[in-house]
Amino acid sequence: MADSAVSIEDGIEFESFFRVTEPLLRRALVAGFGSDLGRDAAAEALAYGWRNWSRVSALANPAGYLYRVGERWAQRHRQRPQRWFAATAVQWDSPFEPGLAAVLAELPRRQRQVVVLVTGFGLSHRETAELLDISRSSVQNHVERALHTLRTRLGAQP
Amino acid sequence: MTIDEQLRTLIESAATPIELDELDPAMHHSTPPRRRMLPVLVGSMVLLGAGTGGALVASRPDEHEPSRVPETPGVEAPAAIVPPRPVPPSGDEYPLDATTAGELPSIPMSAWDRLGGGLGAPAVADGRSLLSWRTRDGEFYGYRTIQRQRGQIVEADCVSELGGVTGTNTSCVPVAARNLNEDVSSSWSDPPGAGTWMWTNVPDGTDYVQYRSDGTVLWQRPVDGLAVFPATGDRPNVVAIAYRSDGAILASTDPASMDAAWRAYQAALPNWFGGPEVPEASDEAAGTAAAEAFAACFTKAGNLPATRPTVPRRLEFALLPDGTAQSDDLWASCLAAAQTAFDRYVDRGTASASTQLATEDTVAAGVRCSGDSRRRLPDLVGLPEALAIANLAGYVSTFQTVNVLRPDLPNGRVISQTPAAGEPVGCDATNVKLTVSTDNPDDATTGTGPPTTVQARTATIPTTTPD
Repeated sequence: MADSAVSIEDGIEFESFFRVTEPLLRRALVAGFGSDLGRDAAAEALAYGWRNWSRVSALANPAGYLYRVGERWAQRHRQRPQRWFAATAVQWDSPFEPGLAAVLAELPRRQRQVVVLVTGFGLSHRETAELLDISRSSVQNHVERALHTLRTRLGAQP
Repeated sequence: MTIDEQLRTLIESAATPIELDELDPAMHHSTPPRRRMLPVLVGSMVLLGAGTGGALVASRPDEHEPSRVPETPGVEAPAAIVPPRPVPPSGDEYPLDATTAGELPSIPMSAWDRLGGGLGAPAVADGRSLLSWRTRDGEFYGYRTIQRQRGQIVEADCVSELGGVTGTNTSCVPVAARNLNEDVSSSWSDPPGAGTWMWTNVPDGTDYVQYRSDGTVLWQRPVDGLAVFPATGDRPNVVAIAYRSDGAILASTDPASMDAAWRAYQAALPNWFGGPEVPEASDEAAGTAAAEAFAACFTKAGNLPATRPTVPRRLEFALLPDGTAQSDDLWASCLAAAQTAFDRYVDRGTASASTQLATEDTVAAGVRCSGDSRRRLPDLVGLPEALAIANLAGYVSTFQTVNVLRPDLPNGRVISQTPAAGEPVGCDATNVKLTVSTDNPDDATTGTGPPTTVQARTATIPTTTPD
């Protein structure tokens, strides 16, 4: 078993990091690359983070670094058949906007990620900027443009 | 449903959370690909087309969904995710068993001259708290006693090999520190290499403790909150984790967390000495007085250790002559007596310590002034004031202290004494004077320069002992 080479202290620390970071990475990468590729990219990034934990943990922004690891991984594997969001919209009798998934899929990747993280999950502009390694002003721009598109295409009032 | 709720739902339903054990390499090779939880109705939905509204087309579930993360060529397999969750635990079991008192050997009372972790002779323990255990390498007693900690008397739970015989291991954890789930007591035998590592406050609900030290991997089912393992080396680098049977970690400890927990506990205690450092020797002198007061309290209550030459099976010193354990009230009152005796010896950070000694009905004293009425004063110069005062006990009944402003010297040190060391002095002498440095301008009438007397007072050293 490989655990003989593993530091228990590192494991405990990584587990804490994992609990906080896994939802962020998964949501950002799923929003960016779809359900399958995004989730696998997040898993790959977290596995990479574990394999290199001593180095990654010393970084100023380990979550942002792992996001970029996952992003690169997803870009390399983009030829895989992509499956976008498994639309909950099939619940037709729900107040869910049936066109949302499609419109979201059409947004530029960065806009899609930002609007999901900021509007959907309530991350601050600063948190989103750190995770995606972009500026706060870019976050603001992406949010505004994404919401404008959603309003226009769906006729919704977010 | 608002747009933010819809976005959240959309993303959360698109991909299930990643579990920690998915990152384990074993998951890559030995288990079938994890099926993603598909949303409601049949199959997953593939989003096709573009344009407003798009088109949602239901499809059959992907029967050939690729396994989760494909291996990246050239990248080594990831290490196992930790902490390991040994069900059953990894390593060998090092069993710990509760024993009945009768199984343990008798301990000569003389061996209890100094109970490790306690306040010194005579040994005092709460008879109701006694427990005993055995490993394949040794036998252990557990008991509650009193300790001195940074200027006060506190209750502590101790574990001793063979009941605390001098030279063996004893570990004590203050009762008040037990809420620090990483607080660990460790001690090692002499010679190093044959020691014992003990965790005396393993959390309730722990099913087993995993112990790792220098390549040694063992596990144990704790008993009464105790886990005991053989230690190698005189300062083993131990990491121990308390697990529930389902793998949940309840607590863990390592040298760094142990030190941090201890520092936090110490920082929470009032520092009656008023400075960053506790004069340990003074602390010990005060502790001796407290122990004597504690023992005297029990003796007064009818507990006569002299009638019990050995301690068969249990620490019967703490039992009353009729074999019953002392009552709560007795334990509490004797604890208070110890604290009172201790308080009279500590400097609570003000110049009032010596005046606290001026109580005529004192119940304890470090040394009695009797017999030879002409003793020679010890050398007190350089000692902390509280220690110097403690050392005066037994030599004189009264003394005087004088504070002088000396910011160039450590605060609270004796810088001269009258009479000088070695000069004879009688029990009733009143001419003993200690000159003590201070760096507090509020205590001075002038600035730096020649020593300036700013305060003088007298006090009485107690000369009586408990009846």
